[in-house]
Amino acid sequence: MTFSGPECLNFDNKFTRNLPADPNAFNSRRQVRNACYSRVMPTKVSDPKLIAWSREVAELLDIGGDPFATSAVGEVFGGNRVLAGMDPFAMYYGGHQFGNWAGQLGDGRAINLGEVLDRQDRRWMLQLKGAGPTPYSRTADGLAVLRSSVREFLCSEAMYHLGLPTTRALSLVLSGEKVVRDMFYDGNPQHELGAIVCRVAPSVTRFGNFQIFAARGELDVLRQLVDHTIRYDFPHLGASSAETYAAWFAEICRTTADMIVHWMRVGFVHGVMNRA
Amino acid sequence: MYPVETDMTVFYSRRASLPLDGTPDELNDSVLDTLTDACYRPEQMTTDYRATAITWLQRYRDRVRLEGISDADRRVRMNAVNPKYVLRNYMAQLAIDKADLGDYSLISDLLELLRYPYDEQPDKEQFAIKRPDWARERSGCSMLSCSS
Repeated sequence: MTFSGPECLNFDNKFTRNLPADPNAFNSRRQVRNACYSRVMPTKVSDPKLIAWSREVAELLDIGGDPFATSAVGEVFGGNRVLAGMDPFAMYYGGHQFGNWAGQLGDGRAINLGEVLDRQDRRWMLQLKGAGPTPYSRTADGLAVLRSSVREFLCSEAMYHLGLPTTRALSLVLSGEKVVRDMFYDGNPQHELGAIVCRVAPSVTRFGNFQIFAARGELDVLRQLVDHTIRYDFPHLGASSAETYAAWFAEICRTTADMIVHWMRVGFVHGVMNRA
Repeated sequence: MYPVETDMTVFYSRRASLPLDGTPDELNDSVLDTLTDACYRPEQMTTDYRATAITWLQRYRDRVRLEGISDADRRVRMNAVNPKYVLRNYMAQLAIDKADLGDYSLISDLLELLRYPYDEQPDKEQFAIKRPDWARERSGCSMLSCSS
């Protein structure tokens, strides 16, 4: 089988095409208003190297062949090569942290590369975790280390094979960079190996994407995001209306509860539940 | 509330294979033998605890009997929803420790193991048992920060 690499991916970026962008194109930390996302490029890394790959996720995306046989996979999923059709961006969202409303959070170390349409017209958002700073990075560096990336790569795929609703993980790439981390926030920073996971999911929209607009009274953009989400992620609910919004909310409550029942069934323990 | 430190995954797995067909009305203490594998500190199984556990298992057995579910059927149905293999923190840590040294093989090996979490994988029994003692207090095995 010949390798049909990431160059063959078919991008169709409905999120960035249909929804309002932050007009500021500079990659500087800031408060954003009335926008769903900020365009931002992944930071180039010195020596991207693919070290793990999920063949099942590659099949979803119609990527075939041996990904280790070429450096292209590491270049693309390490963030060095932005392919034609990609439109990288970080999402604007808010949320609660440790029980308190924290205001604007946003993708601080995740950069969405774009939405792939596969041969069966299914939509997959590709997201690099640890691809460098974004306007939402606050005081952090936007990077991720090998240990947390190994956990995410394995746990995402383990959850899928257990039969749970989850984001998937396509690839695990070492960046070649050293990242400084204080693992237990106790004043003992260490150099660690930098790594990047490529997450794959039909959507990466969270509760917080809606919450931030409600909290800041940005209701026009809120309505645009809700309508977009219903149209593409919940098409069975039909055209937007007050009834549709209620049905959508009910479905999200039900599917979220269902997911957490699955977590309890398999003994998954996690203190953070802010993803829709 | 939880007087005996118990491994959830191993507990469900052992309970699925608990022989209940044709047991006497009053279960005796040996019914707990199968489940002891799931306990990290068997010495925590006091006489009181054992009595409570046996009473519970009797009610469980009665319910299974009422529903007419055989041991074989129960085992199949339980094992279809209770995984035998899960990604335990210490397993991820072993893969991380190797990867830090440039050996990425355990990441792929664990991914292969976790592709079939409900199936018997006879050559991988070492991952179907309780967390080893060395992992009890080790960073990355017993404690993680929220974003690590």
